[in-house]
Amino acid sequence: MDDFIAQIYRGTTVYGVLHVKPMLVLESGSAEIRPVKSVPAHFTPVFRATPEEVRTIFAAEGKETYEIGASVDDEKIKINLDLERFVERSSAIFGRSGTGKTFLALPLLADIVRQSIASTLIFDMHNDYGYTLKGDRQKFKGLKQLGSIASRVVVVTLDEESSRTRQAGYEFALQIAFAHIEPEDLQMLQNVLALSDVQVNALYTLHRKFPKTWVQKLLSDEVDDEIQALLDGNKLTESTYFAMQRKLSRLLNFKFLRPQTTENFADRILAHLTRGDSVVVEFGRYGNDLPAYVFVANYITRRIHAMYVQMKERAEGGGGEEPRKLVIAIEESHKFLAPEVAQFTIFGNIARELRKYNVTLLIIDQRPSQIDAEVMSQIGTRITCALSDERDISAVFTGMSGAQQLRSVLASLDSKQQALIMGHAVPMPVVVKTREYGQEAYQYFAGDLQPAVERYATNSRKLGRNDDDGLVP
Amino acid sequence: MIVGKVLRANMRTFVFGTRIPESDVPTFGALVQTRNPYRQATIYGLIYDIALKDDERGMVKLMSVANDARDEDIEWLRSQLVPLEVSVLCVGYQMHDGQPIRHGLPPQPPIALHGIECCEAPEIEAFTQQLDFFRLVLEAKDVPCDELLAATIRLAAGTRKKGTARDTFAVACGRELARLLSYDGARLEGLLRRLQYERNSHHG
Repeated sequence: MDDFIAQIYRGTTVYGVLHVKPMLVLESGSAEIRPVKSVPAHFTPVFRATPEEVRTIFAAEGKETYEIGASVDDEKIKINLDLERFVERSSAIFGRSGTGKTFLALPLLADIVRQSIASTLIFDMHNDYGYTLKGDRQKFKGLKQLGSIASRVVVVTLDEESSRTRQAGYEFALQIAFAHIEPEDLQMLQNVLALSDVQVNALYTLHRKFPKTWVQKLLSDEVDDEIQALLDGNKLTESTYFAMQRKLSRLLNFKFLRPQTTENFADRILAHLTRGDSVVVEFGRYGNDLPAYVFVANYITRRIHAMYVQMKERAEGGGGEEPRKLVIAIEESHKFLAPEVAQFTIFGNIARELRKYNVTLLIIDQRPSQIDAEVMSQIGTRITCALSDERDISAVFTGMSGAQQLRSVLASLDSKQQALIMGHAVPMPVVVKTREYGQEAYQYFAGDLQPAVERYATNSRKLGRNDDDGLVP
Repeated sequence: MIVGKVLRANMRTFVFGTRIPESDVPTFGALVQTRNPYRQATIYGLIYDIALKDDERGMVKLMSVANDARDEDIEWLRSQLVPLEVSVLCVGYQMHDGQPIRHGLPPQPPIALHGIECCEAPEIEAFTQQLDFFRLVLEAKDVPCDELLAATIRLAAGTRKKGTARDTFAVACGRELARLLSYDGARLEGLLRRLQYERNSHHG
């Protein structure tokens, strides 16, 4: 177009329209940020917020915060999450594969532990949180290697062989005795193992008849007299029983399931959590086995749920202390929170109401569209990295009034190190360049002994000792 | 210089008659002024029509149908200053000397037989500092609005220095038109093409 004509049209007949959603009010001369209750009058001049104003809004002065990153406009402006509010309700980290969800979640959980905001229980599907976090080209330190919190993190493994191969230390191997399994623990596997409703009901029948030995009997190759009597009495049809047995025989592949165990390891995990420790449950090779992951996560969480409800009720009755806040981090959480299972699972229950009992979820997932809408609406803080599926982008905004305008913001995020944060823990939705996890974070989480550790490493090098663990220094 | 006197007037337009030589008659789109002495107002207007009238003796009519009119007779008749009627669209006024020029209809129309003067370059430049009169022109009835506006802009641009000042004025006019005609893209485009043509002619 001719430059003359372009000069005329530009800003008169053709112009861009910026839609601005009023979010907060910061009175001049005041540091108090309030939610907006009105709209500006017509012809009120619009200015970009100054760095100082942005800093004031996201500094969360006087609160326990975690610096999750910096403003994408100005890297000098740090964006802080209010950690108290973050753990107050269930939260979520969404993003398609490879966008750095784990790199975001790990230091965040580490700081929750460091500041003693809550205990954390991490179902570590891919063995990333405990000792080493696998990057694209290098390894990074897991929670257990961060000096200031190492003593408060307990790594539990389901797969000792894998842990040994990876040279990842662990506190104990989690084993589950058949006698401790309840039908509800297996009900979660209904979809994964394609159990019918009739078969699920049969599990309850068996448990009622043989409370301690029902799993042992069910997985046994031989049909004992008691079972036979049940079949003969038509309390259970043979076809149901054997179909159920066939499907559940997969459990026999789980080496962490044992006829007997030396102790109740789930109770040991609970003891750690109530003491204020954080627990990382490493799945080893079982991380790729969905039934194993779903079973163990459900098994442990059900018991935590029961205990926390009990502790809370006792505390309300004046008979004990309030249970310590607990954040349960689950990856692939849509497996537990899909619409068809969320209302039955313990995770759906926690997401919906367990904050009253001081337990909340940190959902880490790449398919928010597959999570039940009711659960989504209960999520307080959403940290969303890049998503490409339209349904997932829409789902992120489920239950957040007026957030639809942010769709385009979400759709334009970089695929790495950028996230849209909105909800309970930030005063207003904000896009951040997330903090890199590496040397700087190690310094931040370094304990008092860190200087000594570094001196040791330096001296070892000088002395020619090679104890390189393959980690980033 | 007085170029004519008011024949008739209403609030929006007035007509003046003139017998000055045709070469001295102000052109279509030119800015002229007259006064309403009762109101002490100077009234500005744009010439939107120039009509040639027959002379009182009917000589022009006769000559126009004569088969053997001689050239010297036609020249003689032309030298007799056949009257012209010039129509003017009111676009602004100034209540007292030194007061700001207002773009709009004057409080009263010009009075009969008052003299009409052509505006000089500084007055044109001063009048076209603001472009609010565009709306009056665009909304005028029975006036070739678009042509009139294009001619006026060309004349007003001619009072500015060549180069940036002239270009800036042309762009400002275009932007004002774009605002006023945002509802009528085709008309706007036609006008802008005219402006562009005039501008390129100047540059050429």
